[in-house]
Amino acid sequence: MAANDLLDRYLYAVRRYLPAYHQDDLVAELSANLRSQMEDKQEQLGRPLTEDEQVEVVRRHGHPILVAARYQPQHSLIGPEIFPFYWFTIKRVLPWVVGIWILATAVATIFGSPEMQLGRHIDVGHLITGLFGAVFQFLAWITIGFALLEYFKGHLSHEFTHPCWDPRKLPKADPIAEQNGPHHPYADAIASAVFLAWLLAFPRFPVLMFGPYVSWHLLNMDLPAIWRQFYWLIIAFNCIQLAARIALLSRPVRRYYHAIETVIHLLGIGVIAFLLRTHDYIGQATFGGSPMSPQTVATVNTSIHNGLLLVLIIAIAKFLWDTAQWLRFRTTSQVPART
Amino acid sequence: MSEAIQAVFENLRLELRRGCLILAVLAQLREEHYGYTLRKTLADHGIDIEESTLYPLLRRLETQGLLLSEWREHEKRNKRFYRLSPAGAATLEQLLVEWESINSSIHQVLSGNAVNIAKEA
Repeated sequence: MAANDLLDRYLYAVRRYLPAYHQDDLVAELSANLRSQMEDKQEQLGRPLTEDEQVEVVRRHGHPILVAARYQPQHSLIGPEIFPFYWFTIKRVLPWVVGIWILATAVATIFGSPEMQLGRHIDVGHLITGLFGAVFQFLAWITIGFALLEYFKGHLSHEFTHPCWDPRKLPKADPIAEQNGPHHPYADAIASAVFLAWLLAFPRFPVLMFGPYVSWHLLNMDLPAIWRQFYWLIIAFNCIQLAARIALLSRPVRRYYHAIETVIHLLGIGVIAFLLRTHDYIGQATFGGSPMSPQTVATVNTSIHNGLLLVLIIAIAKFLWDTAQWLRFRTTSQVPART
Repeated sequence: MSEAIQAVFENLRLELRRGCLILAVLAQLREEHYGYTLRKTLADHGIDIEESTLYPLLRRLETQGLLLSEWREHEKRNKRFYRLSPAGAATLEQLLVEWESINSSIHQVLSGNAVNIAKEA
């Protein structure tokens, strides 16, 4: 292939990606530089360049898209100066968006129209797409807002883009709040939100609790009313827990971490204790269409009751242990260092 | 050296070179050059710079008002020649002062470290 043809192909390829208003000028300059380079090399070698040598010169110059991209003005939706504020805003506000959306959905489900109430028309697909929609909208608006800030930052006052700040006005260093807080506050909040969503969804989709191979109809139980009451109780408990987890994302609130955890722990014990009010957990159950014998029902009821009693004892023991640990730290005024 | 550390070194080397290259280009353009001869002259002085970096850099410096350019026929071919503008010359002087200051500070830091190491030994 002739050198001119090779160069023409290359320059044509570069031209396609250059800004239209500079194409001719830039291509002419690149052409002159590349031809000079080839002529220079020919002089050094004392002979015309082989096709491979010409290809090497052109290849060394770079891929057409990359070469053209270097001539484009640098674009960034949100530049490095604004980006830390953008990221900080997302990290701070997104958990609130998720939490508020879940709470709002829970309230709408509990107190909404009868068609929307428990076990009838909770659509897990709708819940998931709704949550994603809320998160997506939030991210979109925040991004647009910060992109506009980036775009207009040259026109904004210096005070706005470089806000005055005084180290004396920064929050007081609070190692107790810092070290006493949850180890993974964001993970805790997200886990609570997901668990609440799961709780709200499973009456409509029992497969979420019993797995894909067990049909709700296979295990057709005449459940006593206590389970329905328990369901609402545990929904309320998880709403409180989620609110606490979201509140604990704020550093000042973490100072009260142990008090909040104590309240949640006690409420959890109360929820388990509520189930121990009865000895009748499964009523007149049938399994696979066949009724269970009274002895089987009694055995299952006793097992559930004893199991719950054991869970209650473990929960109380853990509560006492945690409280003792906390009191020990309080009395010695030592905050254990995190590892 | 592990690949990760090598990658970190490469990034740091590029950052260190970036500012120096601009200084070298501005200094070399006290004399008039077109793209290829400028690259060759810099390479002869030990400053190797890729075409795909140099030519867009020249355009950017021109847009910033630090360079002037004109198309002129040279060796039977039209070429775009660049040279330092008055604003570019003033900026280069300021940058050279800054460069000398940084260079001298770095030398002081390095020699101070060398003295401390010698004392500890």
